[in-house]
Amino acid sequence: MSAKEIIGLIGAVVIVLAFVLFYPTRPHEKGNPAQADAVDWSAVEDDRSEQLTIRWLGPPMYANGQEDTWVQGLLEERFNIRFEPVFLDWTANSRLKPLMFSAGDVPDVGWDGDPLYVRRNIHHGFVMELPYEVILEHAPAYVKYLNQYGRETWLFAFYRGKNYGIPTFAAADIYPTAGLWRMDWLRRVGLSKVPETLEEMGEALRRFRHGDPDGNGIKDTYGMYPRTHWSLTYADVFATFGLLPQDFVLRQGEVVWGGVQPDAKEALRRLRRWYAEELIDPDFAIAGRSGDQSSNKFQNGKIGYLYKGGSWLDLELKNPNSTYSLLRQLNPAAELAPSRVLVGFDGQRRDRVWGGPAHVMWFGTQVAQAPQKALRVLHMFETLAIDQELFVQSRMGQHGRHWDMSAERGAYLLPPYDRRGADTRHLVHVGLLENAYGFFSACSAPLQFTRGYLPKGMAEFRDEYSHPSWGLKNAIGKSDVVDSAGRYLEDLRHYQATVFTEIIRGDRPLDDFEPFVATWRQRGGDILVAEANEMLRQMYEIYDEVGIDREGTDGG
Amino acid sequence: MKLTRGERVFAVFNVVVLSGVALVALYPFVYTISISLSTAAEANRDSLHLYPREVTLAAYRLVLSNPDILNGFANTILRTVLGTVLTVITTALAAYPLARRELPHRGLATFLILFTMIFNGGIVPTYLLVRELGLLNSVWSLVLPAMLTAFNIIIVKNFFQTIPESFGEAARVEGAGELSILLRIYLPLSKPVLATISLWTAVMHWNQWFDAMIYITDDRKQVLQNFLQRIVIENSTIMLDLGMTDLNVTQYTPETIKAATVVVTIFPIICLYPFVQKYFVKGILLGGVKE
Amino acid sequence: MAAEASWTRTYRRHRGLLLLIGPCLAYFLVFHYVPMVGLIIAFKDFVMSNGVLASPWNGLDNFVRLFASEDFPRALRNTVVISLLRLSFGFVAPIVLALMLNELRIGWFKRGVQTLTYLPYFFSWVILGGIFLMLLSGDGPANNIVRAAGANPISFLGDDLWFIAVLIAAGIWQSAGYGAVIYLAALAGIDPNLYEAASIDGAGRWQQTLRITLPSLVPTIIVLFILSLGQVLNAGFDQIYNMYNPIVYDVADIIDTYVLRRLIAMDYALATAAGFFKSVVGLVLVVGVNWMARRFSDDEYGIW
Repeated sequence: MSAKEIIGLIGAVVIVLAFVLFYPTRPHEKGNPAQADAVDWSAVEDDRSEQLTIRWLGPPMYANGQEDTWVQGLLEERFNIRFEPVFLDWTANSRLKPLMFSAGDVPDVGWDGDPLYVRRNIHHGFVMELPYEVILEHAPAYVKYLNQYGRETWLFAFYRGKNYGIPTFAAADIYPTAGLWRMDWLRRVGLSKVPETLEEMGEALRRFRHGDPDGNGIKDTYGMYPRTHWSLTYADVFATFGLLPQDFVLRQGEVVWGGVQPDAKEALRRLRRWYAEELIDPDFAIAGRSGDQSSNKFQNGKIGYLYKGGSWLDLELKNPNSTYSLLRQLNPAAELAPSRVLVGFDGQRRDRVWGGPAHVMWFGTQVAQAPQKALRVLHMFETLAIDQELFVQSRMGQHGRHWDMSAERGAYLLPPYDRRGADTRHLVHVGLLENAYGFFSACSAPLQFTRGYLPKGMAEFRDEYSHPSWGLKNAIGKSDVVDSAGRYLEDLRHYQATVFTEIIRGDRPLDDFEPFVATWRQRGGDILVAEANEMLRQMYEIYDEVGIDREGTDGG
Repeated sequence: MKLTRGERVFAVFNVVVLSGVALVALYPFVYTISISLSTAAEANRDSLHLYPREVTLAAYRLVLSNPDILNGFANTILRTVLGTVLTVITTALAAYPLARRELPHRGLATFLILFTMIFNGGIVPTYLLVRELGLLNSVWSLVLPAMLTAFNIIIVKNFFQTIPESFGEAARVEGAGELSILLRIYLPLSKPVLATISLWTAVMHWNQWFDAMIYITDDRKQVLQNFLQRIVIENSTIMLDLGMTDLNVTQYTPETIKAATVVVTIFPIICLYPFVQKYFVKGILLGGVKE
Repeated sequence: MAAEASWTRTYRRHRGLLLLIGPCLAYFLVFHYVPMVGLIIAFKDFVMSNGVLASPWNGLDNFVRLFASEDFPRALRNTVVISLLRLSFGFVAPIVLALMLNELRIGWFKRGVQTLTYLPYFFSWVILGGIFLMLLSGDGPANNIVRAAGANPISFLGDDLWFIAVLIAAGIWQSAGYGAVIYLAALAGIDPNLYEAASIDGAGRWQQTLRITLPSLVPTIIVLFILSLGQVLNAGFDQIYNMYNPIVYDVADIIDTYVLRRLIAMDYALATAAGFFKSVVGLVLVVGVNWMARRFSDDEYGIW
């Protein structure tokens, strides 16, 4: 054979190999998710005496969880399930999970925190459709709570006209968590109370920087340190203008993007002045991968104000692991006071909250082969929504063994479960009972369940410092619900964060704001806003289907 | 030959500068070892940390009792041994025919192999291939894709070509098959080049993390570098959380844990390094100077 | 027929060799050439659960998206810039180091320095990156020195320009010793008689270096330079991935890190399109540069 024939032969072999190895499966239309097997839900029955094995990938708050904990056993026995839990940490959740799915390792029940990821998994054919009727039929009490606290989550599981999972809610997320001020510093620099307006806050920060609040003679303190998560960076300042900088907000019935509103420039003006006066710790530019250093800085006495670190738990002196206790260990003279939600320029108090919408628990496509698993899980969610005791146990563990109650402390973990890492290892998590996500329930409790387990005084504390009416949340739940989120959202958020940081640091002039807005709009921002308004309309349609009154307000 | 004054000054300058260079090369490792042995208080001190003033083995105890680390160690050793052995064998088997002028279509075969050095399918197609072959989450996904490289084959081939053809001729006349010629004549003479290849391959496998990151999703099969990556680059605190049950917090910090994990990972290489150094040098020469 | 018969005979005569090379070629076909076929994903709307063949074609859509996005052109720019910077600074360092080492007369010192300088080459950037992250952190020794000198702590890894400087410097730190070995070998190959003759003619050391040493290194330099140029789209993924962070994406995100992020985001088609682009450009560069080298040196220099 000549060389040419050999090459031809080799080429043919390669192509045949490729065809054989990359074998085709079901074809699909361009852009639509892979057609899964359709399930006839009316014909599905769940025989509760049959034990079902369910591979459960829960939220990544239990990275060091272990198998066969008491909590797992409790639910297994009650619902005749054998769980195979999969524990991931946050990094693995975003990096490893997609690779797991690509490798064919899709769990029966999966968790995703943001609609963007839910959508992606749906698009690549990993998620099974779950019609509204099925959820309404098998978990009506759960749906009632969901509609009351986190109705926007329905949007998260919605994709191209169908529903793909069980939305979850976080009831206590309607409370704007307070922050923390070093009261001893405030007193030392001549201020008698915690700031209530932006001006007062600026003055306090100024004195923290230039007034030697820790009395050591060295100018080594700063006012504040910006939180690194996009939802929290300078959110306190922006909220006084009624804005969420990196989210959609509702203004006059329309959805707009916070960061490109004219008053965002005013917020930037203020922050820019503060930075120039050295009120903001410049170290935040170094943090990079090390994450949010603001708590560390506060603990180490480098800053005097911590945004969103002042919940009731953080201030609990009786708990040796609370922020206050740890601070006292390093500095016995330290005194903390919760921050006040600032009064904005229109006289209203507002602060950022996620609101009730939380995440989505979905079913892997293989469950279509065993749809009774879906019914069993719905039954479990329903029972947890009705049976308060079971709910509490599934969340905190066994009374007397894992936790106990007192009037002062409310519910608290008993040793050894109260040590760092020990609670999540055993899948128990008390903290603020409402905000905790159980591994197997992955939604927080209806508020009426938890009232009895709160420490005395917490309810009053919340009313005073974290009243839900002050909560400012995203108009459509989460911004990545819109179709083009995958294409533009992260870029635009990053772009905005970069420009804002540069403006605040003085690397750019304040008047760069208008060109920034123009560029933002042109780089996909206009598309996102248009789609967001479309989503709002869609949301109202879903409300009609699941029985939500459009004009109603959230519970709590 | 007598040195001029200028040349003497230069010689001194040279020594000083090169000493500095050597110290700069060394310092990061000294720092890491020092931190890994420091107590928490010592680690937090502002200093160059050339040596630890307060020593503790707490960080090492924590690291070496971590099942992930031990597991990763085992998996890394497995892939290194398996990968190196396979690579050496298959590279020799591939280089030998290419070294022989009588191989039909030798030029074509050489070209086919060389071409892969300058063009390849990329990450995604290779990933899909590995996936379709069912190799995901197995040590074979780490060993097979990198088993034969054009580079190694060329090096061994060039070396084989320096062995006189007459050796092989004599054996062939006596009726020996090609395989036995390779095994009995060429291989024994090629110990240096094979040693070099195996050392370079072993180091590559020990250091490799990217393939394990995308091919291995089951932590029981994961390699050491990836656990190390989670701890030192991604700042995972699981080890801290696991270790916090009864040990005194002041015995270690995230920094000392990271440093100890690094030292544990590089320890085998550092130990072997002085002994196998000259093979490394030879390898660089074979690879770099020739084609 | 006669021709075919002779081919068959040749095959039979050398079947031993063919049997040895066969599996090896099969391996290359499977692991290297079949993925090349998989590159067609770059022209498809690929969804994982459908496989390569069943996914529909979408022509050049992916490439249009690629170049219209913010990320990819930036990654391309960064890749080229970082590579050129590495080439400019990093290329010279091993040569200088080799020249200096060559002047050493004390055997043990020379070997010692050599050993230490190429030690860093044997560690992955997971290890080295971790070490540098510790060294360059806000509380690390680097900033201790900065603070002792009276300046504010520098965000080495969070500032665009500093990050690039650190990147290049650390890259040199790792690879200079290794490169020097190659040049030292070449230097060792220079005929000492040339030096003798030159010194008889009255040339000093410096003159000798200029006139003899450097020109003799030129072939090695050219070969390595060509190889480097062919690698210009590999800006050092291992190092960058383990040292970068979102703050410096603007200057540090390169094609390979971009592709990896796309892969994790399950954006396979885009990742493949980017990889395809990179492979093609790399191929063109290597072939092109080699052709130029041969052309301008009358076939004297060049890899093939």
